[in-house]
Amino acid sequence: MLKVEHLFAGYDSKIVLKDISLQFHRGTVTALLGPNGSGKSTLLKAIDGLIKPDNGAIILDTMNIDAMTKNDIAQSIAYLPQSGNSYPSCNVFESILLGRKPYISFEPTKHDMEIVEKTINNFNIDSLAFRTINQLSGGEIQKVLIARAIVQEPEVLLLDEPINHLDIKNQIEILQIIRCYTINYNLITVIVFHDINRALQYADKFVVLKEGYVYSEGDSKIVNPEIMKGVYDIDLDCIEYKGRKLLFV
Amino acid sequence: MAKLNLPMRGSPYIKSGLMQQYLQLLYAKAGIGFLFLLCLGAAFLFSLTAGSLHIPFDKIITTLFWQNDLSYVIYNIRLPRSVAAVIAGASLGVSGCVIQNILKNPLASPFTLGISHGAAFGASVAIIGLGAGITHSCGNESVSVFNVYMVVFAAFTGAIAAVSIILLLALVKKVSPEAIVLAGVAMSSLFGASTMALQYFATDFQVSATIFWTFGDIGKAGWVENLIMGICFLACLVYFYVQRWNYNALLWGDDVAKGLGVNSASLRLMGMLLCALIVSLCTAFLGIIGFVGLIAPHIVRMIIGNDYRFLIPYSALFGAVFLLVSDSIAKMILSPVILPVGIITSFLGAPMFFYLLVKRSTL
Ligand SMILES: Nc1ncnc2c1ncn2[C@@H]1O[C@H](COP(=O)(O)OP(=O)(O)OP(=O)(O)O)[C@@H](O)[C@H]1O
Ligand SMILES: [Mg+2]
Repeated sequence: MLKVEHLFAGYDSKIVLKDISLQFHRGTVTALLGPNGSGKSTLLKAIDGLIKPDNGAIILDTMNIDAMTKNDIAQSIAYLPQSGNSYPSCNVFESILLGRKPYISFEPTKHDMEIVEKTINNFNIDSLAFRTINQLSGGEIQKVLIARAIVQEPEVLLLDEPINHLDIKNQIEILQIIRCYTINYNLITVIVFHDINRALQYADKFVVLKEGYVYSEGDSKIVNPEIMKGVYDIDLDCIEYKGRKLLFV
Repeated sequence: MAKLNLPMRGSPYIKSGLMQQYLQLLYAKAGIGFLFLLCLGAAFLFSLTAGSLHIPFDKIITTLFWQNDLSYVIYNIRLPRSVAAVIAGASLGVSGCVIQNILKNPLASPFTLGISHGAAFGASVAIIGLGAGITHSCGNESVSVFNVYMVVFAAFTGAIAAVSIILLLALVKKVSPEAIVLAGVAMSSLFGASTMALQYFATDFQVSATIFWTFGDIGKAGWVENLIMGICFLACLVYFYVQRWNYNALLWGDDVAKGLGVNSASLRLMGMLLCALIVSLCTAFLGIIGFVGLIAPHIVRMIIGNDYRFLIPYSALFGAVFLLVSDSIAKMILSPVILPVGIITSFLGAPMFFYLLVKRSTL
């Protein structure tokens, strides 16, 4: 279990996250929702130890993240940053192999390369394996980056807007892969979403941030027009269709 | 919801040949390294034959093993010069590839940190301010006699001073790589202006001596200089090679690198410090040798890709070969006059670089 306890964190002079307390469980996908600038990315960075908390603690099972070495954190937590705009000209295999870095002491072992090969097979991107990253489409790159997070063999998977810029087929495909890994590998998965319906479709738990506070958290019941009105200040309607809840303007 | 049938954790590994393919790629890259080594050996032997006195190949070989009348020339002039070219070329090449990584800038080179202008300023202070270049006039001819060690020391101090200011900025203010590049530009023009100010108040002879100093000349090195440069270079090379996976991670940006357990701030600081050290040493001893540090990593990258496991050693090898060849040409082209090698590196490097750029973009 991953626990965030009374967390205050932010950048140099600016406190972004204010008194965040949350719990994330194994084998569940948690959707992190909230408007731009509400602190979603900052929360993921704080969980991965990239920014030091000003107050409060992040505890994985029984270990305080603050007390772990950078390499230990990298072996337990994989973090996919909000997508950048330029990527180095490495081939796909190398790019994914980099995810084994926390385990590499001198050079990657056969075991490391086997994991990469297996993951490439699971992601169904064998045909891309020796293409250069910056010759791939946005969706293909995103798959590679998620594959890299997977080969890190983490217990916690933090994904910041993994499906932005993707077409609907790739969105579904990637989210299904993530969900499968979460269940089969018993991961604690946290995904930042902007698409509320996509979140409803693929997440088990929901956390809604607003201006650095937790506005609401819980199961899909909390994703309703009242709460969304409170967070985004827009009026949404809600319908049920084939057992699924849909929110729309 | 549809369940994908992904294997469970710990499921057996099924061979699909990707790993084999990847290993073959690695072997091919290792083979290219072997080629680079052969080139280095050939260029080294060739550079020994070149000079105002042409010594044929077989003579070189025999002199290397048996004492004869050429021993003095070979051991005290040719060998130290070629060894210096290897060390300086390798230092410039490897620091170029590291600096381009940590400053996230393909235009960066060791001199981006202001080393060349700092060194030139230091040398000018020694020559003009401290009178290290004493001019004798005999008839129409003027001869500059240098207090060599004072100039070397002053140039090294100047280079380190320029870099220290930038490093301090990076350490205290935690500025971004882009800001470091800009700070380097600012330092360069500051030191450049200071040098010009000094020259303005100097005699003609002193000015020509300072300008002459800035032309990189590999012939200035002797065995002592080579030993100092060589030891520092090897120590730094080992450090850089140990960090190769960290540089690979840093290629993807700070957040990704940190997420993979890399301490990017200290990696950056150490990288700049060590590059500054070896390049300042080379520059203080030999003068300014441009373009090698910029172009060597690019050419190697075009050949073997963006993998610091290979980039680090091969940039060093390529830098060494490149400087050896340039120096041989400098010795031969207007023989017996020896041109400053810096002119040749640019003349040779620029077209080569263009060729590769054009060739690659049409691939
Ligand atoms: N490096 C930084 N330095 C200072 N302030 C920052 C930095 N990064 C983000 N902020 C500020 O922190 C606040 C939260 O930013 P954060 O990136 O966490 O938002 P977000 O919820 O991820 O938004 P988005 O949906 O746009 O990605 C914002 O007000 C932002 O301006
Ligand atoms: Mg964000």
